[in-house]
Amino acid sequence: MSLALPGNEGSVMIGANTVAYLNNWKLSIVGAELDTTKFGDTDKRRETGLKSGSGSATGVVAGEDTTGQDVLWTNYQARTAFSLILMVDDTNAITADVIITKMTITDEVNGVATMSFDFETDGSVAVDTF
Amino acid sequence: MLLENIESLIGIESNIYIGNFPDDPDNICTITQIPGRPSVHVFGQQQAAIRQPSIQIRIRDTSYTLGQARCEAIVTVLDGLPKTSFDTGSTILNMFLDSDIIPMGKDTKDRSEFIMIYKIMTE
Repeated sequence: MSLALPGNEGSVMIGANTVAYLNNWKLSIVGAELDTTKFGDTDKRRETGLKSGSGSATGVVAGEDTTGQDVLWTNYQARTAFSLILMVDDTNAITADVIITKMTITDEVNGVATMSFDFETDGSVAVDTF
Repeated sequence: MLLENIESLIGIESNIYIGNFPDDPDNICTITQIPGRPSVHVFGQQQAAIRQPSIQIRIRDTSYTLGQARCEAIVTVLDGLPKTSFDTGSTILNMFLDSDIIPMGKDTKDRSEFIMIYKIMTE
């Protein structure tokens, strides 16, 4: 039985709509730790802090993707949070409200226009299955 | 299909051969596909969103000067080709000459040969 999840079954969705022409996404979830060591302690002491996430996605610029890439731009311009679903496959996914912090477009004369966006999570990150 | 599409773009050449390089006639142009670059895949599509083949155009002419001029005429058409769609349904997004025109010297029948390699992006 194969346990691996092939990367090409992934996707990035906004609501029910898939963002077209993306080929990579990344999410890092971190849990902060607070140093509570005090004078006299001989060992470091820590308490758990807040969790947060950040990530990015990249792909090829899709000329007419009104329900996907265009929505990314709209939300970036408006500085609004929106729900982003990072699919590993049809059943494994991560959902979070995100705020886009950076949009990058690259256009090389002998290539095609590519795009990427960075985001920070806003609130909890829901991990479905895995 | 790609090679035939490119053939249709260089009507300035009269003796065009796809995939073979016959010894006769003397003055010919051959288009062959050679290893290209990896395709660009995107989520949700089994087939590549963008393919990146390369082609080789080989020119042979009894005259070095005329052969070179034929190459230059082809470069004028193909190098930097803008987005072009064909009746076959395929689209060339762009096309660039790689390494310029390469003179290959003369063959055993004293005919000059030139090679051009083009990098292509298709959708």
